[in-house]
Amino acid sequence: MEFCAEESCGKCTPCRIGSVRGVEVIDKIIAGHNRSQNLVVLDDLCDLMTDGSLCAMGGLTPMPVRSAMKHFPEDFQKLPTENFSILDATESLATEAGR
Amino acid sequence: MTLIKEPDYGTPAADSEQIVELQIDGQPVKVPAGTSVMRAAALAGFSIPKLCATDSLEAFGSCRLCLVEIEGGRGTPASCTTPVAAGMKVKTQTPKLEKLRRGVMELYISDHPLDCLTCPANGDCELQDMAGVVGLREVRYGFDGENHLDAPTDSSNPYFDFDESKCIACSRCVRACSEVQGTFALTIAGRGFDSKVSASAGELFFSIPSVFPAVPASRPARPRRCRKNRSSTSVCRLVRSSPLARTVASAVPSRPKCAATSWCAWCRTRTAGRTKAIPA
Repeated sequence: MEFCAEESCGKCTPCRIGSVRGVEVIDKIIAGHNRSQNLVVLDDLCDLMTDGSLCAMGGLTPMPVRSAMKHFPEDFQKLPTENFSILDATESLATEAGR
Repeated sequence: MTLIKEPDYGTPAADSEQIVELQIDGQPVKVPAGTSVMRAAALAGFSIPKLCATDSLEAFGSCRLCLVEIEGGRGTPASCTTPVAAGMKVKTQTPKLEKLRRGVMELYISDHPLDCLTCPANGDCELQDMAGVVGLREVRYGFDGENHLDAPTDSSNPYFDFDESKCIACSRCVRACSEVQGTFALTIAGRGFDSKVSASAGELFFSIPSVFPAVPASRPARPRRCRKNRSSTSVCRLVRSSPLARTVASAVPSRPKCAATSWCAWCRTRTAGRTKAIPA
């Protein structure tokens, strides 16, 4: 989604605004805000971008998102739900790896 | 202060003597070859939601509200950019299309001020109409995401303010400027979410007066004639006036002349910006 937001030409709405909203919704899911509701929103957004985008840029952006949701659903569920910070998580992972 | 709404068939008429027969929502329709599905549907009395299409400009296909389903076809093409074909069976209203259209509107409104009640375009706004048509009831993305709501208003032009926060980047004004006026004064600056209507790179709207498409600087709209609902400019032939204030309330281009009926930052500016009152 971030890649699409970066690369979008801005002509069609699903890609221009959708990719930016996609990043935000995924951030909310990771942070644990209204997770179940936001997963539905993300799923709807993926449908919209796949079927509604003008070109394959927006049309295929949901592919990796869908793939992650399908094959790694635990990644969308297991993360800490409150006060989660991706920076802290990365640091703690790095510390663990250092040990 | 209501405007007489002219019928808008979405895309220009096709210039062909060959007649094609197709079915739209089960109803047989005959149109000249080369007509868009959107125009065929409009001629047959079906109204397909649209924002970026208008019948005085070539189809563009950017708003994605006019998606339709075509039997045997892949995906959901935009009806404005899809030409009719013999034997085509088109569906303009299905649960899937309704959901897609609602999703598009949800995205639009997630980056649009919610000041309809105080907006000058209230009641004569295609965005508002379409939000109603697709049945948008909530914006699940919230309004705390990235947006243009605080974008500065460009007031450099004496005839209008360009309020970027209200622009939906449909490019109608840009296309009218190049296709109808032939002046190429407007462009979309930036890319993706940063797309913005502008008069060349980073310029203010009044900084290059020689290329004014709607109200040329050398021939400013003349309030005297405007009060009689006729403007002296080539474009703005229909001008709304407020008899009490003796000012021009807003200038609306005559559609056969200018396509930017609703969104043009130059000619009409009712939603993309506010028209300034010109003292009589």
